[in-house]
Order: sequence, then C-alpha cells, then structure tokens
Amino acid sequence: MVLIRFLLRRLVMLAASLLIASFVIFAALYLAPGSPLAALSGGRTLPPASIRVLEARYHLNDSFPVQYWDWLRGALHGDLGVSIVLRENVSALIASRIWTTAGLVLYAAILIVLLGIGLGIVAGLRPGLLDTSTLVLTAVAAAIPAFVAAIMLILAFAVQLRWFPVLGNGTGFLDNVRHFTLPAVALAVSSLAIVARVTRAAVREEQGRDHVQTAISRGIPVRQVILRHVLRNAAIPVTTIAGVTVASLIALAAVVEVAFSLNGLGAYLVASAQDKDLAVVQGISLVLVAAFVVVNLIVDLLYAVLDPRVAAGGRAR
Amino acid sequence: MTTPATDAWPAQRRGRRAAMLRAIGPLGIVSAVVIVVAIIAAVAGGWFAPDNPDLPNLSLSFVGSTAGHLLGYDFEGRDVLSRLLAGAQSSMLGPIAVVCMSMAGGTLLALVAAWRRGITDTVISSCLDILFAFPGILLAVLAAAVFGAGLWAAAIALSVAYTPYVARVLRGAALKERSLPYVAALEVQGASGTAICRSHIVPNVLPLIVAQATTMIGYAMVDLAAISFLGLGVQPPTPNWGVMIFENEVGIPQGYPLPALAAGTCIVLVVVAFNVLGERLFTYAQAVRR
Amino acid sequence: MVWKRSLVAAVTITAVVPLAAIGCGRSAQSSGDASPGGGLVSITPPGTSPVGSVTWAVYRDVNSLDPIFAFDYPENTADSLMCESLLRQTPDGALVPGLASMSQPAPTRLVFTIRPGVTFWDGHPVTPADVVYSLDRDRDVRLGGYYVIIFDRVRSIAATGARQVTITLTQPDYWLPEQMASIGGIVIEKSFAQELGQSYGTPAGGIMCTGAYMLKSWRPGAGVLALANPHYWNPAVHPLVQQILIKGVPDVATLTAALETGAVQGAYSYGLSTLDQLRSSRTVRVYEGPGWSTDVFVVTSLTGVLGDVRVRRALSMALDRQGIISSVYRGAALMPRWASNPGTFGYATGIFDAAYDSSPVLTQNIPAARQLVQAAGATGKTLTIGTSSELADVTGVTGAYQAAAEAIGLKVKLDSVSAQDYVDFYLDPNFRAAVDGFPAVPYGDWADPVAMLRVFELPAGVANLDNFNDPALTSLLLRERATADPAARARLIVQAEKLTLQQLPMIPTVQPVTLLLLNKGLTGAVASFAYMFAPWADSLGGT
Repeated sequence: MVLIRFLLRRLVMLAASLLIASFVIFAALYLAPGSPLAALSGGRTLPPASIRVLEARYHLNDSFPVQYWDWLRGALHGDLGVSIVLRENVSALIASRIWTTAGLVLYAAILIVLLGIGLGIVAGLRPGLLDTSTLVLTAVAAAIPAFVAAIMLILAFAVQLRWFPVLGNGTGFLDNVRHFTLPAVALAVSSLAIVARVTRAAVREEQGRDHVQTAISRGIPVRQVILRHVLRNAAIPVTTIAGVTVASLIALAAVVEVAFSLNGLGAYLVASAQDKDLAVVQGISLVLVAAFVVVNLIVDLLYAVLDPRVAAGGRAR
Repeated sequence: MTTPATDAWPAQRRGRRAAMLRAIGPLGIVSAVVIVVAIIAAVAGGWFAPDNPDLPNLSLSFVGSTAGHLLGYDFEGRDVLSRLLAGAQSSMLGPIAVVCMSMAGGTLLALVAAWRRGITDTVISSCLDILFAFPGILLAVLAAAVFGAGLWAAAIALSVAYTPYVARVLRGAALKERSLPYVAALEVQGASGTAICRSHIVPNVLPLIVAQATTMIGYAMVDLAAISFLGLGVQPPTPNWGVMIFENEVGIPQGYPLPALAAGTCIVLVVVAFNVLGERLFTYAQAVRR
Repeated sequence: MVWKRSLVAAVTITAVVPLAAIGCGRSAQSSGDASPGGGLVSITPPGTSPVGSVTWAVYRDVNSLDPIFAFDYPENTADSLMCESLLRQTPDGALVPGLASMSQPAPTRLVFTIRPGVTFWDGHPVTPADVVYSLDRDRDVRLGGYYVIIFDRVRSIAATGARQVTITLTQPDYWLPEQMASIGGIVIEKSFAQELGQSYGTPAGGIMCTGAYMLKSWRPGAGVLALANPHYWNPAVHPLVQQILIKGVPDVATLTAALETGAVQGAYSYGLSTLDQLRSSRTVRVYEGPGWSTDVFVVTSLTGVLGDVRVRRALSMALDRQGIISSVYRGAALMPRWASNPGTFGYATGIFDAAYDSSPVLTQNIPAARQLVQAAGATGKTLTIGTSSELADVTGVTGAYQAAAEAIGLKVKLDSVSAQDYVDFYLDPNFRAAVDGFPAVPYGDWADPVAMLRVFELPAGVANLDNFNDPALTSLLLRERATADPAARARLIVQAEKLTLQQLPMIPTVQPVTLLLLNKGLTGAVASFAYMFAPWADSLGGT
C-alpha cells in the first residue's frame, strides 16, 4: 500500500539522517580546538596530574575512528555514553530535560495554531480596520527575534507587573503552565505572525476564486461556502507554513530557554557544545533531529488527509 | 502561452516594470527605500558616524540622550548612533551572504534535480530531506565549536540550513516550468539542457527567486541575531546590531533600555522592510507566472 | 486610504517605543561610586525566625558534589553548605576546630582528635577510619581529584586512637592545617562512598556528610536541594531554614530580575554589573564583605614584551584602577597596596594591618610609566592580551589594560575566545603561546596572603605559566611554609609581598570585595569569602 511504502521510506530516511548527523557532529567536536576539561575547572587551573587521569578516563586522546566507533557501538545498544562534566548517563540527563522542551514547544505550537490561524482567518474574511491592524502588527511581530521578545516580556510582565515568574520550571502542572507562559509567547510571537499572514493571504486568494464567487452568486449559504471551499483549500498552504514553523520551534526553543533560564534540551545543547561535552551533544542532537523528522512526517500525513490528490500521488511536494 | 522573457519587446519590458511597481505598491516602495538606506549605511556607515564607535569610556556607561549624542551611550560608554551606523555593515553583510550562498546552492540543486528528474532527482531530494532535519541552530553551534564563533561560521551554518528550503520551492517551480510545451519544443530543436535552463527556465522563475531571496534576508537577519545572542555569532567588540542587543541587555532591567532598543528597532525595521517587499514581489511573481 | 493608515500605524509603532526610551538613561554625573569605605562585614546578624524555603543562585549549575572535585564557586558553595572539614575557618579567616581539634606534638606530626558526638546525617558517628579514608581519597592520584598536591609533604596518615588521626610529615608544613580547614579537609563517610564507588558525588549517587544541611535531591538543571538536618551534632546550631535550593543562573539580567522579584532570595557574587540597581532595590540588600581573591593580569610569557620587569612595572603604573573599580565593579572593590587581598589577614592581624597600611596604594602615574618603557627600549612593541568578549568583567579589565598599554607607547592586540574556552589560557599551552597575558581573578583556599602568592611564584605553582623563578621569593615562601610562629610567618609574608610588587610575576589589578545579595526578609548568612570553605547558612533565617 502507498501508505506503508511512504512510512517505510520515511523510517529509512530517519535512520540515515541520524547516522549522518552523529558522524558530522562527532567530527565537528573532535576538530574543535579546546578541551572538554576546561568545563570542569571554572576559573582556575587544574593540577596536571588530574588532567592526565581525566583524559585517560574519557579516552580524550584516542584517535577519531576509535572514539566514534566506541560511541556508535554503545549507542546501538542504547547506551548514549556519559557526560564528562556531570559524570552522569546521557540518557538520564536528556530524560530529565526533555519534558521542558517538549512542553514549551507544544505550548508555543498551540498558540501559533490557534491564534495565528484564527487571526489569519478572521482578517482574511473581514477586510477593514481589523484586517489592516492585523497586517501591521504581524509585519512588526514577524520581525522581532525571540530573544528580544523574551527580554521585553520579562521586563513588562515579570518585573514590572509581577504577573508571571522570571525563571525556572515551577512544580506541578498548573505552576508549570504559569512558568512556561512567557517563554511560550516569546517563542511563538514571530512564528505566529508569519502563520497569520500566510493564512490571511491564502484565505483571501481562495475567496477570490471563480468557483467560490459562483457558488455565492448561486445562493449557497456563505458559511457553507467558506467552510467547504475557502478554508478547505486554504488548508494546504496553511498546513505547510504551520508545519514548517512548528518544526523550527524545536531548534529556536534553545534561545528562549537560555533567556528564561529554563531547564530544557536546547539550552543544554548550546552549553554542552561550548563545553565540548561530546556524548551529551550527540545525544541531544539525535533527539532534535528525530523530533524534527517526526513533526515533518505528521505534517505530510496531514496533507494526505486534507488533499486527496496527494494521497493518491504519493509525495506532497 | 508564455513568451520566453528574453524575446520580449522593449515596450513589453517597460510595461512589465510598471506592472511590478503597481503590484509592489507604495508600502513596497517605502520598504525598498529603507533597504537602500540600510545598504548605504552598510557600505559607508562608518564614515558617517559622528563619533568613534570603538573606543570604550567606562565613565560614560549607559548615559542617556544628550545634545550631540541623540541616542546616548552604550554599556561601554560608546556613542550608540555611531555604533549603529558602523554596525550596519556586519548586520547586513551576514544575512546577504547567507542568502547568496543558499540561493546559489539551492537554485543549482533545484535546477539539476528538476531538469534531470529520475534517479538524480530522487538522490538530490533525499539528500535535501536529510539536510532538512538539521536545525539551523545546531549547525551554528557546531560551526562555532569547530571554527570558533564568528560571522562566517554562523553564516556558513545558516546557508547550509537554508539551502533545502530554497531548493524545495525552486524545484517545484522549475518542474512546472520544465513541463511546459515550449521547453519540449526547444529540446526537439537541439538546445542543450544548460542552455535552456540558463536562457529560459531561470529567467522565468527569476521573479520567484528574487522574492524568495528578499524574504529570506529578513529571516537570516533574525536568525543571525539569535545566534549572536547565544554568543556564537559576531563577537563583541565588532559592532553589530544583534550583538548590541546582547551586550546592552543588562541595561534594560536597570532602566537604561535605549541602546538595546535602538539596535532592536534597526533590526525590526530592516526585517519588516525586507519581508514586506519580499511578500509583494512574491505575489507579483505568482501573478506573472499565471 | 488603506495604505496610508497602515503606513502611519507602522511608523508610529516603531518610532514611539524607542523615542520613549530616549528619555531613559543615566546622567553623565552619576556613577557607581558607592565605595565600601572600609565598612566590610564578615557575617550578617543571625536570623531569628524560621523560613520555609530559600532559593540560592550560583553562576552556573553545580556539576559535582564530590569534595575532591569541588574547585569552583558553585561546587564550593554546595559542599560548604552541607559538609564540614576537620578544622574550620571563621568568617574572619581565623582557624578554629571543626569536626576535630588539632595538636602538634612535634613539628612533623599533626594529631587530630575528633570531637565527641560528631555524626553523619545518617546518624553514624565520625570515626578515624572515615577521616583517613577521606584524606586518602583526596590524595589518590588515580581518582583525579584536585587536591592531591596539598599532601606533598605528607609521609603517612593513620588512625592512632579511638578518636585520633595522626598525619606524619616529611618536613614541617604549616599550610596543611589551613588546608584541613578548607575543602581538602572535608570528611565523608567511608562505607557510603565505598558502596557508591564511581557514582559518589554525581546526581545518581549523592553524598554523605556531617553538616547542618543535608542533601535531599539533586536534579541536574533543577538544582541541588538541601534540607535542614534535624539531628545535627552541634547543639549550638539550630538551622532556621527548612530547605535551600542551589540553582545555576548564568545570565546576569535574569539573576537581577529574579532577586528583584524574590524568585531567588540570595546569592554570592563579585564584579556584578547590575549592582547599582540592586543597591537601590526594595527587595534586596547588598552586603559587602572581605574578599580573598585578587583581580590580576596573569603573565603567560616572559620571553615577549613583558619579559622586562620595567615594562611590567610600567603597565602596572599606567593602569586606571579607579576606573575599573567604578565601572567594572561598581565601587565594590579596593585599590590594592599589595598583590594579596587584605581580606586574607586571618592571623597576626596586627602585623599585617600595620605593614599593609604603611605600603603605598598603587596609584596611576603615566609619565613615570612611559619613561620606564622608554628605558626598557620597548616603545612600539606589541602586547597581546587574551580576553573573552562574552565575559563582561574580563572585557572591562581588558579595556583598561589596553588603554594603559597604549598610553605608555605599546601597541595592543586582543585575542578573544569564547567564555567556555577562556580557562584554556590556563590549561592549554597552545592557547597560552599566542598571548602575553590575560586577566583573571584567582583566590587561595584559606585566609592567608601566601595562599595566592604561592601558585604564581613557586616554580611548581599551578598558575606559574611563565616559568617565573625568583630565588629570593621562593626561599621566603618555603621558609614561611615551615615556620611555626604566626608572627614570624606574617613578617616573612610582608617581605614577600614587597618583593612581589617589585618583581611582578603577575600584575595586581584590584581587590574585589565579596558581595552578598540577600532578600530583605533574610539575614544571618556569612558575608566574607569564607563562605567558599565553611558553612555559610548555619545562622540563616528570617528577620
């Protein structure tokens, strides 16, 4: 069946992506100047004897193929290695942080889909002041980098108004939601604007189509026309842009996590790469790559549902 | 039936330019003006700067707006206006370099895949799919680790990350163009693939390329600013708008928001200009192709 | 018309915000000049009411709780909260008994007698076996701990009684008792550590110590959670705070906002750029206490332009230290008279204070400095400074050295690396080879001026990166190490400090004070640098 072949092909692509990614990352960190031990020493110098012991323990002086093969063998058995900085299993370190990033991305994705698409539909269907102000606001919002939004939100809502906390994850579900609100908004702002603009443009375009005008002039109720024709057809480009932006959130979350001191994978990735904590960078990168591919897969499956031509033809390109 | 662009009469070309100006609209023209100003600042901003943008003077740190220094001083006591002007170069150069590199790579890959189709297309598309899965930030982090943080490491990383997006859009358009009857006619007449691509397909998808490039400069600017915020891009003390936000961020909670806000405003203004112009050009490109 | 409205709206939005900001800014006259003026406090008044929970910020997440790997501010802060050493340093730097008291029957024999009733968190008593195990673990090269070298004059460590441990030395060593009052002397439980093996001190393993606060849990990224120990062995101490969470907050702006909003209730710091805001905050009180660290310019190469001692003296003379104090430290640092921080005068204070006060302050004198450079024939030569543009205090100090060098006729080149790579100037010879020196803020592990001098001046000193070797200085330091009488030691050190200023193996920049940022509802925390090596929250509580 087409679907099975499609899924199989995607799975193969995923495995290939992960393998290539792991190799590239390992090579990059191996070539990078500086030592992972720098992260352990803070601002003072380590005693030379300690340096020798640690280098031997973590095989830092082995050649590249040996180190890579060691890691790969372990990874295929489910052992992602040990963090040099924390001396803890990488899998455990990732597991303790993954829900922060997942929660943040999910929260932001919900905001983008609901508010972005909603705003775009409303603006597209009703020309006038609402439409104009939406255009202006989204044009500016789309240009605001996530970290600028983060700084402004912290200043306005956390420090001045004290509505939201400044940092941390919080404990318990409701407290988590409260702690994640400002970061999710910062993350969603610019993507939300882009999705709103594309949705509005798509809705406008579909509205102007001949068959829609004909249906309206034939007396079919406007609401039915909008639902069945305008929105349905606008769904394809909207799904494209929504899928692309949500997938990009996975990486962009790093910036927001750093700005809000959230305990997530993105911030940890940046810190570990700078510390050259090899196993951790490998582990997190593989998780991010896999997540990215899975989100794209879901988007493509959505295409198949929305556009019958795609399901019959195979690839949604 | 579309007439290949190179055979248009001069009058038709003038008509096309007028149509483009109409499609862009006044807002698009204003955006273009903003962009031109930014480019002038990028090329010659350092000469126009009223004060030395590089010399720190810690006793003037975060002093506000005074006569002769309308935008005040930054966290190291340097004149903000001068730093903005001097910083235009690295702030514009990075995104433009990213877009040029990814456009070149993406267009080439797209054309080859679209023209050859078959196995070549499958291989290239699969490679691009794998590349898709690499988030830009991850590539920037790795590039910074290997090459040391800086503008070029970040720019190369972003170009690699953007290439699949460019290739995807252009491959679709090139495929459509390639399937048009006039191309088959030219092939029958004996024209080579490269010649047809160069003289016919590329000019016809050119509006799309330009529109895509314009919008992408906006995205690249935002992404590069984020990379600088993480400390992986342009390094201080080189003036750069994204870095200025990062450096002067500490001033905001203390009540000295001007340097960071001024730099942020420059970024937002230029990015909005690029986005608006790019969107208008995109609409025009789609209209032309229909 | 539609476009006109949107154009006007767009322009208005993007113009109003920054225009509104133009009004904000410091006036040129005000500056961070609120200097401590000698009013440094070592400890804040003890707390009086119970507090439920306190979040304490450190500059990055703790990466190990194992004392043998505690080498930097976050790890020291966590270990000093929960663990105790054989001897203890008071907030003023004096040496008092800790878990044990010490006697010295002979110059090469140190006898530690464990105080009765001392127990670990699990109720087990501290035995000589635990002490011997802890110290042996410290000096076991195979474990890669950072305190191996402090035992270099130790011949043997053995349990010699029901509560007694004797350390036999190869030669007299008066630094070792001080180290036993620092991280190197922390006592852990032998059976607990042996059971955990490699995972001791990791998030999975945990630790077992004796302090007033005990480890409840450690989730990397979330922080180290410590609870008040209800069975603490010392009846004189009653911890008032129920739980303390030590959390890494790397970003200065986030830390400041968190302190202002009360999300974080306390932190230790130095060289904080947002100090002015915190000083005028309604939520936070800033305490300034004696510091033990010195901001220095570490010289990495004596074969380059800094090889001539006249050039080093000239660079030191041309430096605008007052500018660094007001801009980088916002007033929270002292003008130096010596290389070592006067906060380290933990003994023989009379002798030290007198000698210190009679030494001249290192003030700026550019004309004399320029003459020195000319006499050395170094005018026009290039000075390469290692720096990191991501570290605000390093950048500020680098700028001052750059200005000083250029004022005396040298050319300056900057070699900037990332914040993570900055310590590679210490660790990696390749990084070092490219520069003539770099700013750093080193500190010793105990309250003695020699603690910092030795790492730079002794031939085997870990921070002696330029093969500095002055036989007179070396002899002074080694004699001091073997001298029993504190007054005699102090006099030797005074000589060493004066010689240091002449030879300048490193250039002292300023002396940072210790900053304690405490929520106004709390009091009782230690305010001096002793927090790094001894319990700092024993009297912490509500006001």
